[in-house]
Amino acid sequence: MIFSLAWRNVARSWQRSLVTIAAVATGLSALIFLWGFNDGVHNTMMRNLQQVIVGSVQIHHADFFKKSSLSRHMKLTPELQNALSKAQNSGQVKALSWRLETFALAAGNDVSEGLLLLGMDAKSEAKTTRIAEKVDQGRFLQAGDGPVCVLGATAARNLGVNLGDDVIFLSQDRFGALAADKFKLIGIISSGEMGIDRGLAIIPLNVLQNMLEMQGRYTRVVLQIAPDNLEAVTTLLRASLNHKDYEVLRWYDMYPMMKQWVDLENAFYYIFLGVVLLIVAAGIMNTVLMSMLERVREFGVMMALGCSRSVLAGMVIVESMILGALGVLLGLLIGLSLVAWFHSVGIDLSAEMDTIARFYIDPVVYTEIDADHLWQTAGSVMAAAIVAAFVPMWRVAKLQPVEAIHHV
Amino acid sequence: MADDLDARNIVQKIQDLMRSNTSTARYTMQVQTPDWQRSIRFQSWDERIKKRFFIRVLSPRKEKDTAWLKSDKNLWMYLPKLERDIRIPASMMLSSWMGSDFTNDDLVKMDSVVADYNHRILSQDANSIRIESTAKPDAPVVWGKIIHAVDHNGIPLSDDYYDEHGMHIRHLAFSEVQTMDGRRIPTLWVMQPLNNVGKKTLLKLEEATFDKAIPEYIFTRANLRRASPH
Amino acid sequence: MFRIYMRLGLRNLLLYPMRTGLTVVGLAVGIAALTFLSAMNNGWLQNMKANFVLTQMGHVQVHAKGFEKSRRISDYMHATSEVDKALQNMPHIQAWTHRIRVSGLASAAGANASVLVSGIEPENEKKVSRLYGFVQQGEWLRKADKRGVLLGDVLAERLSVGLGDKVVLMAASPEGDIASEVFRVRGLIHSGVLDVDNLLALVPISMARDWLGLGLEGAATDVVIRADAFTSVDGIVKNLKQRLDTHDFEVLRWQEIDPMAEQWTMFADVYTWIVLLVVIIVVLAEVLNTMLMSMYDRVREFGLMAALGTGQGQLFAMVVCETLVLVAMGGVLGFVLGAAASLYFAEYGLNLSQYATAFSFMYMSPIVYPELTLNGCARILIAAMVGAVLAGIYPAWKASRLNPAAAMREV
Repeated sequence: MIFSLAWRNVARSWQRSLVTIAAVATGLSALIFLWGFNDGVHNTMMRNLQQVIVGSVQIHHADFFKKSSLSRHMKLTPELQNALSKAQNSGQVKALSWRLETFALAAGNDVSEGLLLLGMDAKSEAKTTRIAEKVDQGRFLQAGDGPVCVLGATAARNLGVNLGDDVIFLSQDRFGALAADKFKLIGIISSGEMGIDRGLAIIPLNVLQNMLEMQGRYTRVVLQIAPDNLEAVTTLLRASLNHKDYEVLRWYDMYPMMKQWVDLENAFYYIFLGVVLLIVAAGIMNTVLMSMLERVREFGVMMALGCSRSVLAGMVIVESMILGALGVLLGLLIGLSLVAWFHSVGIDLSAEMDTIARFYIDPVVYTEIDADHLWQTAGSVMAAAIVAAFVPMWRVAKLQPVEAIHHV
Repeated sequence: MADDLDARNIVQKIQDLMRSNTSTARYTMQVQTPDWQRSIRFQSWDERIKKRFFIRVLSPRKEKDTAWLKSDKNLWMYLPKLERDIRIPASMMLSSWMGSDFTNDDLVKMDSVVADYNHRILSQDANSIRIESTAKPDAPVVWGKIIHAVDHNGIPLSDDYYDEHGMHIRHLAFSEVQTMDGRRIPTLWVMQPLNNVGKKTLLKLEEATFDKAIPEYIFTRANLRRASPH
Repeated sequence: MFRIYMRLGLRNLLLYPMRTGLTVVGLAVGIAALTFLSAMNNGWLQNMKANFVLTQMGHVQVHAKGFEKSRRISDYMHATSEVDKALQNMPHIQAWTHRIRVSGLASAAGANASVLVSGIEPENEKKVSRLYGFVQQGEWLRKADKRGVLLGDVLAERLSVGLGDKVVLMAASPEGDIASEVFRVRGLIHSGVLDVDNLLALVPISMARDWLGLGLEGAATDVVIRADAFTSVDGIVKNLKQRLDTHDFEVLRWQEIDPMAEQWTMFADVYTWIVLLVVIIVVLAEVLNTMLMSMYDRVREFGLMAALGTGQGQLFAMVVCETLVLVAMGGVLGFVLGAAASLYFAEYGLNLSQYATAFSFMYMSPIVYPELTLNGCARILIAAMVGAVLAGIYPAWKASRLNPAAAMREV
C-alpha cells in the first residue's frame, strides 16, 4: 500500500518528478560517460602495452627479469609443459609464443652497436602480439625465413643500414664460444617506444637457437590473456611451477608504471564521484522536501485519519526510491548509449595533440566502461537518492497532525 | 702497508718470467663445466710496449681462423665464416673471455700485478715462499689481495685471489714446468673459481718464443683475413 | 531596472531558505569541487612535469653537435666556457651543471656488469636535479672524495657490492684506449625505474675527466640547465641557439630528449577539459532542477504578477536574474571553499597513497600539491555564470508564457 501511495504521489506531480528524475539521470549519465572516457583511455593503454610486445603474462627462468643472462633459460620440461597445458585447457589463454634473447653486438657498414637480439617465431607471434604491425618499412618475419632481421628505426639509422643491407650480429653461444652471423635487413619498426626502436633486433627463433647452440631452449614464454582472466591464470601457473626454477610475471609486475598511473587517475575519479553524488543528493533532497512541504496539510489530514507516522515516513522513502530508481534507469540508458556511441565513433583529440609517433596514447579515444565501475556508480547514485530522503522523512515523522492541517 | 723489497722483487721476477716485451705463443684452452667441455687452440703475438696483440684461432674447425687484432687503439675481430672484420667498441667487451674463467680484467691488466700492490713475504718453507700482495688503495684492481706461492727457483706455483672482505674467489694453479725458448716456466695454468664448483679453465702453453721481433705485417687488418698455415 | 530584478531575485530566494539553502549548498559543493579538483589536477601535472624533468634530465641540455644521436664519448665538448658565459647572465635560468656521460663496464671481485657512468658536479647537480633525493643508503658524493661512486641499487646487487666496497669502472676514452679506475661505493640510489637502478653509476666529474683523458677542466658531454619555470624554456632555447655556434653545439629541450614525458603531460591536460565539461553539466542540471521546481511552486505568484501588469519580458528577466543571484551565491561560496582547500593543501600536500599501491615510480608522487591559477579560476567562474544564464532561460521562458488566469487558479 505504501508503494501505491508513493507511486500515486510521484505520478500526480509528474512534471516535478520528471525534473528530478532528469537531474538524477543527468548526474549518472555524466558520470558513466566520464568513466567511459577514463576507462577507454586506460584500457587502451594497457592493452597496447600487452598486445604490442609484452603480453599479459610471461614465464621465465627464476630471476631472469632482473638478472637476464643466457644461462638462465628454460627447456620444455614436463613441469612447464604441464603448466602450460593446464592454462590452455582452462580456455583463458588467447595465445602464447616462445622467445629467445641475448645481448649482441650489431655491426652495420662501419658502425657497431650493442643491442638486444630477440628470436621470435613468426607464426605464433602473429597470434600473440601485434609487433608485426609496427613495421613501417619492409615486412616482419614470416614462417620459413632464413637469416633475416627486423630492426628498430633508431638502431637502423645509427648503424647506417637500409632495407636489403646486411647486418652482422655477434654474441656468445651457450658455451661461451663466439656466435656470429650475417642477416639481411627486411623490416624496420617505428613504434614510438624508445626501448624497441633503439635497442631491439628481431630474427627468426630457430635461426637464433641454432646460432647460439640453444636448440629447444628459450628465455621467455609470452601469454596473451584477457584482463578478466589474468589473475586466475597467473595463480594457476604459479601453483604449477616451482618458484625456485621459474618466475611467472604479469605485465604490471614487469612494468608497474602504467598500472600506478591508472590507479592514481582512478583515485581522482572516485573523488569526482563523491562530489557529483553530493550534488545529486542535494537535488533529490530539495525535491522531496519541497514536495513534502506542499503536502503538509495532506499529511496532517492523513495522520488525523489514522495513518501512522511510520507509514508516512515509509511513503516518503519509497517516493525517493522511485524517483531515484527511475533516474538511475534513465541515466543508465543515456550514459551507456553515449559510451556505446563513442565506442564505435571515437573522440578525436588529435587537434589538441602533436602527431609524434605515439606508443601508449592514442589521440582518438574509444570509450568503454569497466563493469565494476558502472555498478559502483549506479549503486552510489541510488544510495544517494535514498539517503537524501532521510531528512524529509525525519521531518515528516515529527509532524503534529493539528499543526499540519493548519499549515498554509 | 710497506713494501717488502724481497717480496716485491720476487713478484717482479714472476712477471718477468711469464711476460716479455714481445712474445709469440701457441695455447690450448679448455673450459670444463659439469655439463659440457670445450677446447680451443690459438696462436698469439703480443707486443707489450706498443700495446698490440694478435690472436688467431687454430681449432676447432667451427672457429678456425677467427682472429683478433688490437692495434691503433682499436679492437678488430675477424669472422671467417662471414669474411668480415668488425670493430668492437672497447666498452662492449664480453664479460668472460671466450667463456673461460678469465675476465677482461685479466686480459687488460695482467701487468699491473707488481705496481698496483704492496708485497710482503707471508711464510717460507723448504719448497715454497708465500707472498701476500695487498692492493693499493687507488689501484684499479678488483681484488683485495693476491697470495702468490712460488718455489725457490722463482717459478710460480699458485695464485689465490681474495676480495676486500677476505673471501677467497679464485685459485690459479701453475704446473708442468718445461723449458720454452730458454726459460723454465709452468706450461699448465688452471683457473678455478671458488663460487662455481665443477667449472674450471685450463690453459696449456704448447710453444712460446720471447723477445723476438715481430714483423709489422702481423699487426695489420690485412693479416686478419689470412688463414692459419696449420 | 537590473538592480530591481536582482533585489527581487534575492528576496524571492530568501523567502524559501531551505530550498535556496540546499541549492546553494549543492552549487557550492560543485563549484568548490571544480575549483579544488582543477587546482589539484594542475598541481599534479606540474608536479609530474617537474619530476620528469628534474629527476635527471633538466629543462634544457647543451651537447657537442651530434652527441644525443651518437652517444659516443668522442663527441664531447672540449670547452664549455662558451656555454657558461652565455648562461651567466641569461634570464630565467635557475641553475646549471656539467656532466660527462659514458657507457662502460663495472667490475667487482664477483661479477661484471654494463653501466652508464655519469660524471657529475656534486654541488651543482643538487641545484639542478633530484638524484640527490633518491640516495637510499649511504650518502651523496662529496667534491673532495675523488673516488666515490654512487650505484643504482639493482646494479649493486648484481655486482654483489655494498657500501664501502671497491668497484673498478672501465670505459673507452675518446681515443679508443681502455681506461679503468677504482672507486668506492658511497651510496646506493633507488629511483624505482629499473633502467636507472640497473645501470647508473655516478662519479665526480673531475675524476671522470682524468680517467677518460679528457684533460681540460671545461670538458663535458652535457650542460644541463634548470629553468625557473616551464614557460621560460622556449625563450632560453632560442637565446642559446642565437649565442652558440650551432656547428659545434646542439641545444635540446626536455620534450626532444624524452618525447614520452611530453605525451603524458599533453594528454593529462586534454583530459582535464573533458572532466571539467562534464562536471559543469552536472552542476547545470542541478540548478535547472531547482529553478524549474521553484517555478512550478510559484505559478500562482507569477500569474498574479502577470495579471497586475508585469510584462513577459520583465518576468523573463526577473527569473534569469534570480538564477544569476542563486548561482552567484553558490558560486562565490563554492569558490571560496575550493580556493581555501586548494591553498591549504598547497601548503601541506594531499596524501593519496592509500588509493594506489606502491608508488615507487619516480615520476609520480602520491602527495599532491594543488596549484590554483588565475586562468583556471577565471575559466570556472565564467563557465558558472554562463551556465547559470543558460539554466535560467528555460524556466524564465516558461514563467513569462503563463496564462495569468489559469495560473492563479492553480492550487
